[in-house]
Amino acid sequence: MSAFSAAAGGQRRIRKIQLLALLPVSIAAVVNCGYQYLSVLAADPGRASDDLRSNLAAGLGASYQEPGFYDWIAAGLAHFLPMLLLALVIGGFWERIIAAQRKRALESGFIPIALLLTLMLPGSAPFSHIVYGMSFAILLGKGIFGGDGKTFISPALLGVAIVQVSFPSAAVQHPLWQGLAGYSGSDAIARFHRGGEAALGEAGIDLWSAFIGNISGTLGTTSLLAVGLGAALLLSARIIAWRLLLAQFIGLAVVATLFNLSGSAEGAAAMPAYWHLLLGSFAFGAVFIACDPFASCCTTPGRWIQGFLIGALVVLIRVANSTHPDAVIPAMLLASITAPLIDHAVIAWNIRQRGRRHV
Amino acid sequence: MQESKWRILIRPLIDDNPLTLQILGICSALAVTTSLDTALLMSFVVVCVLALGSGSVSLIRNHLPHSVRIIVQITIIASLVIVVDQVLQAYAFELSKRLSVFVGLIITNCIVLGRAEGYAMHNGFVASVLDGIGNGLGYSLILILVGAIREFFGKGSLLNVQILVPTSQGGAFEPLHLMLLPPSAFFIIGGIIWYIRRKRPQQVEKPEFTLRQLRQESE
Repeated sequence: MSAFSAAAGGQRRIRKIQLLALLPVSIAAVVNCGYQYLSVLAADPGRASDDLRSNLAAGLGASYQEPGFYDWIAAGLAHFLPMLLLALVIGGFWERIIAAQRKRALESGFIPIALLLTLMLPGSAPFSHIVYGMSFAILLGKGIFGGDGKTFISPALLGVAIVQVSFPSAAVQHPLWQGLAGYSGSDAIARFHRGGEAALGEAGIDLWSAFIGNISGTLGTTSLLAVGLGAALLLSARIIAWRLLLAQFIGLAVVATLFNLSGSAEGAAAMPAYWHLLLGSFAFGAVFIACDPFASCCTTPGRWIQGFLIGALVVLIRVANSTHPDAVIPAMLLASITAPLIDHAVIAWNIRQRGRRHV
Repeated sequence: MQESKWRILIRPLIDDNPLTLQILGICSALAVTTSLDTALLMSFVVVCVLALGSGSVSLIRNHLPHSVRIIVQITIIASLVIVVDQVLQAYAFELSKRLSVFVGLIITNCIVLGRAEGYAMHNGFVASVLDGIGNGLGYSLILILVGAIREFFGKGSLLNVQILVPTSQGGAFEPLHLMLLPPSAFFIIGGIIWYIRRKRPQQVEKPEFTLRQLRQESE
């Protein structure tokens, strides 16, 4: 028993710090979600729909006329909290069943998974998608592999990917802000794809607003500032590997620059590396998904290789496939299933080198 | 030990199912189960080929030189598949176009060769035919189940009869695109295997590895 509880204690520490690191991201998500929702409503009040989240926002007194800080937070919470609560309830429900079937104690890993899943969905994601994605995340992402700490891909990533694959029409709008039913905007990366930096300017996106996260996007992934705060905490607690994180940025920068330098650079191929970092959910994914301590490479050269692979794949898919404007989900899915292979190769290579040294 | 004829026919349905226990013929099960009608047709074709193939191989089993047996088996199976393909094109042209290459690929369906080599080479004609039909039915059972689940959740219909109204036509049902992609068949077959092995624990394989107990840190 104590052997298991020692391991569980380590996991509990990791989970606490993960949740703490997600706090700035969640706050940014709430504020930005409310801000975007109210500014859409202010531009076109007739769009107010009659669903739970809009009613809740109105009930909390969030007004789109001259909105202030309170209005943003109220409207943001009205969107964020129901989604998070639903994800927690569904996750807890499946965990209960798994724990009862296996006659084990209840695992708490579903809490960060629920939070991550919510943060990677748009503020208007239908509740059915959350139920569906969370069920897949817990059952297929974690349950059948033996629970917390035995996953080989991040369960939250799997959940979001399954939602995107299952509902392609929603996935097209996935990176967009659509807090209101029927509202169609355009994702920042898709904009750049069509019209370059000028198109971003038209939509009011500049470096500063993209940095603090004041742009439309999935809930938690817009603010580089908040993600950076979380990353600093995770790095200082030594939960994520700095090599893996750095290698991802290097991979992104190198491949983006190569595309910029290639002769016929247009669309997303002309997008400089800093925009790749600022727009879309790359930074969020890099810190919270790809560096998942249980699902990433654990050898030092392996971390460099896998990180570079993720960064390169993100840019490659963004440039090559305009149906995935924000290529983070497929790129990270692809890269995380290579982790065991990379580790295996690195260890085999190391054994061979050492064998040669001591003939 | 002589099995009763009835056992030979029934055993491959669940106890020795070609898909869920022998793990044969998975590829075609992923490919043809996007809708129920193709799954039904494929099941029918495979049952025919399996029964005739096993029967034919069993008839000539004592005259077959050991070294060329696989070639002869494949020739018999391939001829049968071509006949079935021609019959399909004559009487069910539309469906045969949708099944396209997969009817031809029954030649490479592991179940057919597996039963011919593994059973028909050592058993009499009647037993071999029954074994072929039984395995074909076991394959069909899973195929029809998976096809029904995939068509129902992927399109909201069964046998092309719309049961749930999709959102694109104003209904409340949101089709799961995932179900129309091959990976969903993996998930569903995996789920079926899990369920069967839960009900019949004797099918569970012995683990190849056991996790080492963690050392206690407080010592």
